[in-house]
Amino acid sequence: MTGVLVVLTGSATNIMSYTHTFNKEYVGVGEIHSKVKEARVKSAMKELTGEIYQRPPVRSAVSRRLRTREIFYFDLLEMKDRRFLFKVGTESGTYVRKLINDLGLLLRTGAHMAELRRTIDGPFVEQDAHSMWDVAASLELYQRNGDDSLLRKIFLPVENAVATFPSIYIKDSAVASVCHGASLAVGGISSFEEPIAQHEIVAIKSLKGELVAMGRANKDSSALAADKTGMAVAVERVVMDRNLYPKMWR
Amino acid sequence: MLEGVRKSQKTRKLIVREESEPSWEYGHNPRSRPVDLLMNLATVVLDKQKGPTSHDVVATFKRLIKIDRAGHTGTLVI
Repeated sequence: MTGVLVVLTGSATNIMSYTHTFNKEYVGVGEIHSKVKEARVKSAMKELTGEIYQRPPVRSAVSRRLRTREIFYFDLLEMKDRRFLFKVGTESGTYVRKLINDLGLLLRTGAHMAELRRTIDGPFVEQDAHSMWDVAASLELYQRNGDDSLLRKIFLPVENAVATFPSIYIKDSAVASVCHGASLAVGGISSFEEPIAQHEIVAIKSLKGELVAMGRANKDSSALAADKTGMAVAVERVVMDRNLYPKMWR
Repeated sequence: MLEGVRKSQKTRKLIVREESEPSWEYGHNPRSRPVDLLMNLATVVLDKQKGPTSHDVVATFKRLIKIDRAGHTGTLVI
């Protein structure tokens, strides 16, 4: 497989369990085992759109229990003889190779995947992706001339990786305690992005927009706005260096 | 098309509970974080080529950064 591979560095790796849940888009080449009309392929793809059942393949890292995954779209881009080019938008954890095999079953001809390229991973698209050479060049430019312009185009702030989660901005006085793993109390909140559902994963940020931690909302947006006291967010993963902000609790 | 996959990235409304001013004595604007801090708190979107596995790519990436940040032991894991 080729394409978008999101890498987190240093303490940004603490948020990996959240970035794993990103939806993905792939473009790939499939091969049908005997000749089929384009219209039939299209209608089989339509049938495989929406909620589908998948059993993870024998060689996989997860439990092989039957599970459901959502296919947002599954389009035929081009077809020539038995080979076809497709684009598919999937929920994370969808096995595209399996999906193409299922397409072959529906067509009653069999089919397999020949090539696959990831074009979107959550908030990141193919156009954002850089080669290892770009990374090397950016480091060299910075080391040689102190020019960080290219480096900053490649090393994006960790905050970009959690752009899909609602943010809760907290007062400076609450930052250090959250960094030490304390729950966030409603009194520590300055503002937040609506809507937030109870138990939804949220990004706790400083007033400057720095990611402090990821956590699970204990209240929905209306309670977060109105409640005078209580726990707002249960902190799950701290990202910020705990010594960056001064301790302000007594 | 993209919306299907990126549907959770809708524009959200900001609700202010209590106005508060940030202090500039500590912390940084994420976009102007000093380079040494940024490199240990970053997202890098790589374009993986055919051949090496994702694991290999990350290993190469880690090695590349380590060489350039000689003397530092910034952990870089995927």
